Amino acid sequence: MIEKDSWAYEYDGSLDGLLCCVFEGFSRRERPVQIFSHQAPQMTLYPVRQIATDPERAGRVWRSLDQKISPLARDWVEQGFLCDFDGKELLIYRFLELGYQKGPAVTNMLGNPVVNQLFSQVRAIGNEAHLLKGFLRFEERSGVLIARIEPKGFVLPLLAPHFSSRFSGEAFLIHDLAHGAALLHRPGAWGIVPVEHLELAPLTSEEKEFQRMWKGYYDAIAIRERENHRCRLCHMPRRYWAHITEVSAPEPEGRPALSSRASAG
Amino acid sequence: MELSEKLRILADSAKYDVACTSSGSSRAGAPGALGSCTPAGICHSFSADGRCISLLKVLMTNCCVYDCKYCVNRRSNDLPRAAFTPRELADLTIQFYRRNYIEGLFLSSGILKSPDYTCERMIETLSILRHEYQFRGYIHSKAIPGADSRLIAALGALADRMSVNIELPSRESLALLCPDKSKTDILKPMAQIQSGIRQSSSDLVKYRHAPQFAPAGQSTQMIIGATPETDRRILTLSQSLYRKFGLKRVFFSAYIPVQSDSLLPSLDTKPPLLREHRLYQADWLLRFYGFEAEELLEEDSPDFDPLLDPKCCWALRHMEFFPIEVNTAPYEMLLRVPGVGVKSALRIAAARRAGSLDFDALKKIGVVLKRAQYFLLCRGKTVPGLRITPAGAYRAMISQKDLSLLGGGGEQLSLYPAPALTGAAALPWGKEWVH
Ligand code: SF4
Repeated sequence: MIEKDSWAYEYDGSLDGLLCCVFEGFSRRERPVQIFSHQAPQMTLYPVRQIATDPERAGRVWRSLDQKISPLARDWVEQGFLCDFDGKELLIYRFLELGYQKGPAVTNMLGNPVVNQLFSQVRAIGNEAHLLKGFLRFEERSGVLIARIEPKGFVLPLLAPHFSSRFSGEAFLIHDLAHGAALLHRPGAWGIVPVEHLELAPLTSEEKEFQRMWKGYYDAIAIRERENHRCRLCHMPRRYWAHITEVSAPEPEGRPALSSRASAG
Repeated sequence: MELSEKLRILADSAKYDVACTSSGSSRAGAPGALGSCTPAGICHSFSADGRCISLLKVLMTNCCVYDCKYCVNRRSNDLPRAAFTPRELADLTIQFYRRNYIEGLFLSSGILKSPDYTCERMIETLSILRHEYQFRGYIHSKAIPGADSRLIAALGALADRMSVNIELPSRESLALLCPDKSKTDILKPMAQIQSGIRQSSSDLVKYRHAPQFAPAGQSTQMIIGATPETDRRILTLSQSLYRKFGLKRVFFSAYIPVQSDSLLPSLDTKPPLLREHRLYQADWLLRFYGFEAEELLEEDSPDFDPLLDPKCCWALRHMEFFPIEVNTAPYEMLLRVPGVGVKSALRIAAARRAGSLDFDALKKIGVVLKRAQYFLLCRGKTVPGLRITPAGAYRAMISQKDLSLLGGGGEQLSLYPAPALTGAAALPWGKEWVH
């Protein structure tokens, strides 16, 4: 590929938008040296090209991932995009450049720094989603099951199929405080919506009783002779504790409405 | 008695059962039903002892007409007793499940009145869950030794996994410590479960909707350190259980003294956690690494080395196979390299197809070289600058984490030639009970 002058690309922050950056770069035969979203504008030394999001173009790039590289590479792109790290757009871009050259073999090239970094990020967000399938706790508040999480990475799309299938008959809401969004589910339908602020109904005494029983169970099941806090922490790191019923501090009495606040993302 | 008090008592009585896995069943959710199972299982929490909590693990009742010496629930022990009604337990399971506290239920029981009566109450609980609530989450049920085979069959049709605990690693120990149970009592349901599983999987091939019988298979548990069997005896027994009864898992449980009895280790003995850990490591080697019990422990050294894990131990005894070339060695040999796990071996196998590997590339794909470097060549060379001395290699093989299980005594242990395995036997022997 011939390198012309260096450009920074600015896109709308969506996966479609990033795929359009790929379309643009390849059709102009230029390599962006920086890619950022409007939502996180950056200072840059390079001239900035605004990339418009066109679903038709995005669709063409999307289908090419499957055909010219592999379904696995497509999954990596999709999941890598959900990660929180800086520079993910450019990393995905570089990965695709390599993928179009090497084909399906690209996901085996773990010795390559680009491939390796994307692989680690994808693995990390997969682990985060897996852990949260276990650590997430619902509380029933006026008939709706409500959970709060603060994940590393935007895991809601990865959690949605699991929880919708498991609790298909329930109305539930999973609030991602870190990314200001929530997964809403009622029987037969789910969606992810931006949520900045959520007023929660107070816990009923019945709900408190279930929490109390669960804590009692949690304490009873530990074997004193085998206590091992380091081992517990390594399996269940502290950063999850605030939202895990059995290890979090109890909700203070006499403060009925609890609100959670998060910045829009 | 309040429900929360019952729960506390019946969880406390069930906690020595080590199995808590929710793996082996795959069942998507269904409209109008509650729950699903994922093949790898999900851990929902970790208790203060660091063990995974996946299932609500309780006894139907801790009342028992038997008197197994190593068990807290034995008839002669003075402790608070309680019993769930099937309805109470089913409702509690559903409420915990909806809140995502658990993957499902692990149900066991003391023997109330008779094995048959006990079994019927367990069946009733599971029927409420499966039929009334359409519960599709995970259920692990103990088979009660001595119960009618039709009842065992009914339990198996409701559960994902079944288990019968072998309890102790030999017939003599069993006769001594559980006068009411015989080895046949234990092996009979085990064989029945195995044939139920076989029957249902062959039916499934023929008819798509054939009833499933314990689709996640069966497991068992034995107590380590209550009785004098060697590690070799325990490991060969596990191996034959895997082979003869097609078990999915054999669990080991370090004995925790629960009463003083001249037949048991004294009350102040600590549970042999390191020994239990070594047995689990060896068990993995049997199940996923293609090792045989007889390779890991030879007749003249029948116990594990407290300082070295079983794979390192094997490798150091068989240096004639090493070093091996990363780029060409068969996958089965990669698996035998200390420090290389199944994931790393698979990654090496995939990565070397895309091009020849050097040590930097190995590091990048996440292979930890601390131990492996003594056994590997890349393009015919060892790690640049590595000096191989027996003492250095030996030191690199010792895991500090394992040593902490020895209870801080690590520093005084000599690092030189392996103290021919006396350690495991000299560890304080404790142990534990359960069905
Ligand atoms: S091991 Fe089982 S049968 Fe034996 S005393 Fe304990 S609860 Fe009863």
